[in-house]
Order: sequence, then C-alpha cells, then structure tokens
Amino acid sequence: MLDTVVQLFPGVGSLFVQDSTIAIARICLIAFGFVIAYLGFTRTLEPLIMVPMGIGMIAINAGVLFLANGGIGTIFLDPLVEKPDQLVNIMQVNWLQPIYNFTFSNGLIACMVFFGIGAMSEIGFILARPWSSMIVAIFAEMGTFVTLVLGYKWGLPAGEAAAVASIGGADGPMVLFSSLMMAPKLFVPISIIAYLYLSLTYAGYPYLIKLLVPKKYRGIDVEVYPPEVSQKAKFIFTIVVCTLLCFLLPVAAPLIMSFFLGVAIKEAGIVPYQELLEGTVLYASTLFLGLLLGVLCEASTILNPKVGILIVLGMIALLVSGIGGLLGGWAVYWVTKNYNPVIGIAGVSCVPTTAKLAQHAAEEENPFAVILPLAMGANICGVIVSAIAVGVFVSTIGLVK
Amino acid sequence: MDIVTYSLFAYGLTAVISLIVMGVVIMISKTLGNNNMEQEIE
Repeated sequence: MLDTVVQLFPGVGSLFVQDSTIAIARICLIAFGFVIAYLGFTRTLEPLIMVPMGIGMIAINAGVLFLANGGIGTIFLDPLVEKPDQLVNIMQVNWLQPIYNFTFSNGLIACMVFFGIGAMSEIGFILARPWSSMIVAIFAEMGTFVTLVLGYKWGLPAGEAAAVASIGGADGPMVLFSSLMMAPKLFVPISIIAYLYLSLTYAGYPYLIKLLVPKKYRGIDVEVYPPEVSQKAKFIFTIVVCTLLCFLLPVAAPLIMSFFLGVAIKEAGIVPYQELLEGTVLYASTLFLGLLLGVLCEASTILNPKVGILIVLGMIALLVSGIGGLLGGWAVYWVTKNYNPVIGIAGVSCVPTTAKLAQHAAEEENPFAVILPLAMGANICGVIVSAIAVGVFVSTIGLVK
Repeated sequence: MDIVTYSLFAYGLTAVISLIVMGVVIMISKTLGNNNMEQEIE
C-alpha cells in the first residue's frame, strides 16, 4: 500500500525513502520559500527577486520524483553537470537547464542586469559632490576586506574567502561574477546567500541608520548645486571611464562594459535601446535570476557544510559595509559640515535600494530634506568601487600565501 | 603575502584606482564644460 502511495505521489513519497536530514531540509526550504515569497508580496523584502525565488524554492523541493536511472531528483535543472555529452542529454529533459547554462553559469545574466542598471543610472548625480560620493563608496567597501580576512582565518581558501567577501560590495551581479571566477564550486550557495541578504538590507539597514546617526543629524538638508554638464560631456566621460577601467581590470571588463554601455545608450538618447534595456532586458533577467536562485536552493546544495560559514560571513560583510558607509558619511560631514551622514549608507551599492533608504530616513525627520540626488551619486560610485574591488581580487588573489 | 597585509593592500589599491577614476571624470567634465561655455560666449 505504502509503495503504491510512494509511486503515485513521488513528491510526498520521496520524503519517506530519502535520507531523513534531506527530507527535513526539503520541508524547511518549502516553508522558507513561502515566507520569503510572502515577505516579497508585503514589500518587506525586495519583491522582484523574492517572489520568483520563493516560488522556485518551493517547487524544486516539492517537485521531487523518481528518475528513470533509479535516482531521486527533479526535472528543473542540475547545476553539477560538467561533461558536454551529459549536458546535451540533460537539456532535453530539464526545462531550466538551457537558461542556467547559457545565461547564469557564464555570468551573462549578471551582465544583462547591469545593462539595465546602467540605462537607469544618471551619471550626472556623481558630479554634484564627486569626491564626497567616491569617499563614502570607498568606506562602504570596508565589509569586503574585513570579511576576506575573517573567511580566510576561518578556513576558506583565499579565492572562496574573496568571493564570499564580495557580498560586502552589496552588488548581486558582481557577487555572481566573482564567485564564478574565484569559487566555482561554491558559487551557487554564495549567490543565493548574497541575494537573500541584499533583500534583507531593505529591512535591516534602516535600524543601522537609526543606531549610528542621531535623530537631529538624520534630517539635515544638503544644499546641492550640480554643475551644468552637457550630454556630450557625460557621454564622453562614460566612454573614457569604461576604457580606463577595462584597461585596469580586464577580468571585470564584461560587467564594466555592460554597465557603461547602458549609461552610454542613455546619454546618447537612443530611446528604443534605453527602453529595451531598462524594461524588458532588466526585468526579464531579474525574473530568471530570482527563479534560478530559488531553483538552486535544493536541500542537498544547502546542506553543504561550508554554507554555515558563508551565512555568517555574508551577514558580517553587509553589516560592516553598512557601518563603513555611515562612518564615511560622518567623515565627509565633519570635513565639509554640509552633508547628511545618512547618505553614507548609499555608498553600499545596492542600486537604488540604499539611496531610497537614505532619502526615506532623512524624510522621516525632515519632510523637506532632499538627499536623493547625492545618495544616487554615492550609489553609482558604490557600483564602480565594487567592480574595482572584484577586479583587484581576481587579478591579485594569487599573492596570498 | 599574509592575508591581513593582502587585505590592506587590496583595499588601498581599490581606493587609489577609484580616486583616479573620479579624477578623470572630473577632469573631463571640467574640460568639456569649459569648452561648452566658451562656445556659448563666442
């Protein structure tokens, strides 16, 4: 009787024939998927990633069946297939396998997200307070370098420690890219943890701002006089900065090019391309990114013993980066006296979430405070500094002995 | 290189490259901004 039930409903039946740890982990992940999808629905977490990720997580852990070869698995995707002949065969069965292999595991999806972010970025914001924005962004990268040391001391190889440390840059596509380059065996859990935490910044950073910036400073309105810069000037320096960064950091060139191509298209006023990138390309790639991250949350992947360390390190990276960004905000405030320290949080380059958080925190204390343009400037500088940090890691991590 | 020294080195290098990039951005925007103003005056 039990055998019949197991065969008839393999999703449930497989729970009874699998290792009990995996079965319990599956149930926990289904519940967790429901929680994050619901928190996305309520806008407590970022809905663009969390809703598809939560549903993907539920489906991959519920939709388990008995395969023709006698094993237990799913027909979504297998991230561990390496041999070309196996891959070609499995693509006939697993419906998400082509998207995973042709867009996710080679970093293309990260570049597509960057096309969209570039096309949405107003590079002119940087010019309102260029040095302040860049200094805040450099401070906000602190979590990356602190976490690198901790990860290495806690037993991770240098490459893996650097990959998980890049979560401190708070830039999802960059984490995906760096883990593919430096920790290919751990890139699935690192990417999942990164995106999960990036959504949690949405909920956690407002408390950090309240903790580190007293009420009277949070409402400071900053006088901003952005210089008049023509579109021609912005277009030319977009190309020059792209060239310079590609020369300096060839390993990060695909991401750098993707971001600056988006910016250049916007500045050149090529409206059909801009609409394509900031609409269809950005949202389609974000949808599939969220879905794939959810589908990759199989119980067996999450039960990797290193995941516990990655969870702690990811949290430390984002916490220290947030603290660093706010310290940077304070440093600029003390030097110039015309700055809101809250803008520091926007140096953590989670575009445009942290900029919006900074504006919201200021607005709560002073409804007339407008710091969003400066916060966006710090945000874009954060993206540039994160790309540089990842490029530096990939180029020089071999120096660690 | 031990990990702490490497981390400081990488952070320093990141900061220097970032500031160079910002310097280039400002230089170009000022140069092109001045050219535009001169053209407007002419």
